[in-house]
Amino acid sequence: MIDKQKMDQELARYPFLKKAKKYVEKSNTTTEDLVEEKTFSSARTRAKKRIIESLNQGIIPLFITETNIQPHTEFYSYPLSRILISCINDRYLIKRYSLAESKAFEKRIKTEPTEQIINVARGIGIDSVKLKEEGGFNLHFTDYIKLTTNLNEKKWKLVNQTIEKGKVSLTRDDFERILQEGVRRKIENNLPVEVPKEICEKLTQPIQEIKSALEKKKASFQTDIEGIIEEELFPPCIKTLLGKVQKSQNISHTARFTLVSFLLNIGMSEDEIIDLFEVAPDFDEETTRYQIGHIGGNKPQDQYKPPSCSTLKTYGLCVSDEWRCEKVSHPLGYYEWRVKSEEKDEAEN
Amino acid sequence: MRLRTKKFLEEKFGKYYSNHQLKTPPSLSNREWGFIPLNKDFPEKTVMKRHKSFSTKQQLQSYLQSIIPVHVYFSSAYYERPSAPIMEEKEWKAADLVFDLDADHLVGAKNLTYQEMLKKVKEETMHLLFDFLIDDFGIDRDELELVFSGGRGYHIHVREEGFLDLNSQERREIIDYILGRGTQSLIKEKKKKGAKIPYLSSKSTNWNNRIKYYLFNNILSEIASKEKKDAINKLTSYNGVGEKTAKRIYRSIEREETLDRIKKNGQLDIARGLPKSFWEQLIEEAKQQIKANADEPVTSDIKRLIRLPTSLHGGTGFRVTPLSITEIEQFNPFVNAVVFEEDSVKIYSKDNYETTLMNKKIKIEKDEIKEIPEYAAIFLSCIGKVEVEGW
Repeated sequence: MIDKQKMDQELARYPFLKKAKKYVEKSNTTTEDLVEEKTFSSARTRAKKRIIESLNQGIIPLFITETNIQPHTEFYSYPLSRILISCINDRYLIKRYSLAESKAFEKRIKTEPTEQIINVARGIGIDSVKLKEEGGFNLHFTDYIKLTTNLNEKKWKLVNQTIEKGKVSLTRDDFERILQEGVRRKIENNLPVEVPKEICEKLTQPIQEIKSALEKKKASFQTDIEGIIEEELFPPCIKTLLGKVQKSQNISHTARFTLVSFLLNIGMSEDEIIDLFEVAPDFDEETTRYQIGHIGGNKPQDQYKPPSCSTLKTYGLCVSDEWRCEKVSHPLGYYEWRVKSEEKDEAEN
Repeated sequence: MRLRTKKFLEEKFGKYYSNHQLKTPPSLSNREWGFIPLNKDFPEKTVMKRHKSFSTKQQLQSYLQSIIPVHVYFSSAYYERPSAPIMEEKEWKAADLVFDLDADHLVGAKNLTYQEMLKKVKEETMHLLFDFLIDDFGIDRDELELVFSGGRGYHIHVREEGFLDLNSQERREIIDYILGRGTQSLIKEKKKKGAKIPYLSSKSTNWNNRIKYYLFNNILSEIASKEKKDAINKLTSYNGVGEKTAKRIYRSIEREETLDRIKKNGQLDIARGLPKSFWEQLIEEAKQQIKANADEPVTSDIKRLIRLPTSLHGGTGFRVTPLSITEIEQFNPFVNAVVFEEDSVKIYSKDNYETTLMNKKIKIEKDEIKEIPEYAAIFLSCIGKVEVEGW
């Protein structure tokens, strides 16, 4: 009994571990049970909350602070969240949710004994991790690379680490950060799952609630005072960069500068840009704000302009796959042109 | 290349593929193969026959005997359907991690003879192998295959688990490590009595430690041990260092305590008026020496075709020679990669050329007709210096 309680506690905290799946299978709980049975109604409420909080707060509140939630409710709310998200199947939602789960995870792991960190790491497939005698952890550098390629900060580059015979030495703090990235990737890569239509139909109500929260969130960074900010009308180079950021891929400093200065110049606000960058795995609000502030300048006339097409070509950032690109010399020119012709089209219709 | 020279090469290459057992890579049937046949336009124009696959070594070997290629390649990648005509359909599963060291990437290799060039690339290969792959990365000696490419360098194939599923971006991280790209600045600044003093970061990473070691034991101590005039000459060759500053630096590093002090507290204020950029130049110099010059695109490419060890290189006639890591130091391509016979072959030389093969000096003069050993005739035909007579 004590064992079961301990197990419930652990799985409630780390529901993405490999052994969670086995646990569910053993308990004979089916997907139908989860979405229909009364026993799981508080788990369903909690699942919805997980997702909505991830949209609104960017982190999932820890259940321990909410004394009324039972470990088993917390645990089953996780597969339920995955079902809900898969029914909606929206890229942004998946990214935002995975990041929020991983942030909650990082908070939790901070207070755990080192053995537990090792358990969790192995539980998500990081098998090479070992505790170092003198404190800290080490892990094989191929695992290290796989977990850090999306982290932009220079300090994570392998070239700035200590490696001995294939083992990278890490402090506990650094390892926790990497583990968070591992958790984020694991959650994100395993979404969406396949959910039968009939199951989704039984969840219409929470799905509607989540969808409207999602629309609200998306609307908050898509509308703009000056009217249209249409991603559709962005030049190909900017679209590519934006896509990379939203897919959490690493982009170079020049690329970041190009993207941010473009967005600022077409009238996007600092907060809206922050929202766009927030899905990046090593997102650090303070740093990003600083960078945006720097590019934006204090007065409008101090604002940096994005590089011209020819400069972008030199940096290998030009993807010119469109006839319009031949006719313009600057990404902002491209955008203005398209906005104007769009307005004209609308007027004519 | 004349037709009779081609016929000669074809017969000799064919004989090699009939009489020698090839060494094939693991998971043979999941590899894509590519060949360059000895057609009529060789060597000016070559066409690669690719998207081939074989399920057994025997199949491969008899194919080689039938088409007698001048170059043989296989994919570092393992595919579900290696013979599918387009890449998307092949279904990539994994790939060996490959390093390519080529004379083309060495600074100053242009003015070297082929012999000298290969010697230099060999040193670079050993540097990569022992300092990076074995020491830093801990790669098991049994999980790597070291090969003389038959041409201008060496290849290393790594087949250890954990490496095979790395994607291109992750492999680039490995090559960045080897090239020392993206290191955090080693020079920091702190304020002391209102002035900014540069000092060496105490962060201990493999690269930082190597740079510091090289800085102290190679650059600085070498300058300190020079005659004053030479030392000043060397020091003023750095940007931002004039005669006066150079003299101050020399006077300072001449004393052993100065180096000891830098080693101890990292402080770099060893001479008045010394710009931070001086240290940055030294560090860059150290980095150039510490890195191993492996070719980046080859390592980051997960769908590369690479030469088959034990096949023949049509640009030299040398055997693409697998080496154990204990052999490389003594390895001499001009003896150990030669597989052909001593029999005399009559040739016509198109150029003046001199080389040493099988420890024998071979010298030809333009427009001369003479008899040379078969192995020399093959090498010189392949590099385009002679045509075979009466074949």
